[in-house]
Amino acid sequence: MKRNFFDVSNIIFWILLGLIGLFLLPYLKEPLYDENKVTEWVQLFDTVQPIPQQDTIVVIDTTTSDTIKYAFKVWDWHDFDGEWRSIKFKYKVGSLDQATINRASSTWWNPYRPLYEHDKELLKDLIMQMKAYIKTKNLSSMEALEYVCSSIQDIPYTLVLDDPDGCPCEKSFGSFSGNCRVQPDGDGCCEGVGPFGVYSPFEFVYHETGDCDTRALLAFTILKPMGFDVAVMVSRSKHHSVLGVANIGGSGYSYGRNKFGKKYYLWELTSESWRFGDEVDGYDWFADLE
Amino acid sequence: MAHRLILSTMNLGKYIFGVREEYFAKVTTQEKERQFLVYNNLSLMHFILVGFTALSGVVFGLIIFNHWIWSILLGVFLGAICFILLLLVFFLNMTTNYQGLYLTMTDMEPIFEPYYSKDLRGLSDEEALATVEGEKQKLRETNQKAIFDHFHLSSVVTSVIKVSLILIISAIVANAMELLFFRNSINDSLSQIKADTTINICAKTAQVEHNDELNRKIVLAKWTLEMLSPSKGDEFIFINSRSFLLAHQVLEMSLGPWKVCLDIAFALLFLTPFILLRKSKEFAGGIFLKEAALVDIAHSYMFFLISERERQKIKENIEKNYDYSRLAKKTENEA
Repeated sequence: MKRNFFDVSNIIFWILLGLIGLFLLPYLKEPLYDENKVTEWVQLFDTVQPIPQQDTIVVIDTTTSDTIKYAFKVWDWHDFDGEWRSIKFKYKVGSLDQATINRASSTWWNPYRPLYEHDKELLKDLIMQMKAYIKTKNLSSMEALEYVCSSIQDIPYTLVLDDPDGCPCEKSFGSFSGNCRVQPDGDGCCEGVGPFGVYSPFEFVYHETGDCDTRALLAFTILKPMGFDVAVMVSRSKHHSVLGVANIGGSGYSYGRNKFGKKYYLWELTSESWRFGDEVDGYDWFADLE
Repeated sequence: MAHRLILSTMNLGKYIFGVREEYFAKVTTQEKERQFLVYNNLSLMHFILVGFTALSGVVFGLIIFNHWIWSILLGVFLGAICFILLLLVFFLNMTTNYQGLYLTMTDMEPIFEPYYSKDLRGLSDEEALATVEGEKQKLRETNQKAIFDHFHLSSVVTSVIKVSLILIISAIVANAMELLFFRNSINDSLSQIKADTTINICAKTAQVEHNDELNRKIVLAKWTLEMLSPSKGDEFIFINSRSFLLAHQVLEMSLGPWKVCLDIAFALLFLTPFILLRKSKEFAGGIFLKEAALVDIAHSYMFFLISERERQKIKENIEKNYDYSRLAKKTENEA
């Protein structure tokens, strides 16, 4: 039987009504409602008391075969006071491959978030140990921030490019050799890091080499789960990325905003000489990941 | 199918749209049943949408007043507003597609004109009725095809206004229904917020100078916790929040893109009857609107003939019994 416009529209109306009526059933509602979103929202209030609660530190049981799944890395650095800091953390064997594959498959409209979401799990032990240290030493929020950021700033700058033949290259802020490792002059250059010329947080920790956005992303990955209100700030005009910190800051500090106008004070992470509050050049800083 | 049988024989449309049996005296039973089916369907849609709106009123009332009687009153009030507004939108779209009838209804001067020079004083009611019926039959026969090629820019403007009106109502209803559907989950989330240590610590923190964002968070935390506690001696009936905005924010956060899907579903639900009326030939090209237009034309025509007849009689009476020349002289003397 041929159906006319009335019949079709009429059927659509009653089907829609039926579908809406299905929401009275509990089984359909549960998958649509994400309770974790509220948990994330409540975390925003955590910036008032940024010293994180200590998680249970996992003690590796070397008597079981389970340990063969983990590898260890020592992450050491000089903090801003020149004190030597060191953390030995574990990660699952195969994490580097996982991080590389995940980074290579990231999409242009949101390159940072998938890297953060994926690698915060790989770096769980590092983050947990940093939290434990902050708690043990009863560091203030500013001291805690400096503790984390100094560990990143201590690593010399290396340019990271997506172009497979991008190194050696000339940039307005210096020339870079074709060696991806940190060079004595500091001008290392990593090419073919697709698709956006940014290492994932785990890759940065593993290789200990990276440029501005790689650093800002690692700082974000460590600080965000600790409860700090931070963001990866980007300036299109300067082709540059820094860390953004909300709620801690003062007049005269450089800042950018998110799309709702929230202020993030800027923290340059590219070398050990930078401190929070130092003037950061640029006028168009915005929060690309928060 | 049973529902088709019921919808094609009952006459629900009579109470909303005035679909009367006598309009279908000259059409086949099949055509009559089809018209009953489409108008009964439209009436059912109207009732359902009004029902949804009334229920939304109760939901909003429970959140705002936390009192059953006020909520029911608000539900009735919103339902009544929606009833009238939707009916207005429906009637504004119920225009016949029979071009000749439309043009006759909007301008009847060509029919009336010959009678201005005619003596109608001797016209009886029966003769007037016969003339009208003759004209009605002529119009019925000359308008067999529903073709409407009349367009005016104003119809675009009015359509935009009508669609906006419907979308506003649908958005109100969608939000209320989502609150109803996810009530338990929202209450769980609100309890979770209320018990959360972070927000409680934040609310107890003293405000500091030169840090507006921190102070804003402290104020927000205090406000949130205040909204999650009922007034003294009272308890929550529906959503465990005194603030509609807070409940809405939790709903929006937790549903994410699904909320947009539900909003669109409700918008489509509300727009379907409107689109039906605009686009389906069953309405604009249907027998009911054609007959209703004919009845309307016949009434106007009949009342014109009778009033014209009475006007001529009165005029004759005045001319015979009132001496205007005397009145005119008297006025001159007085002056």
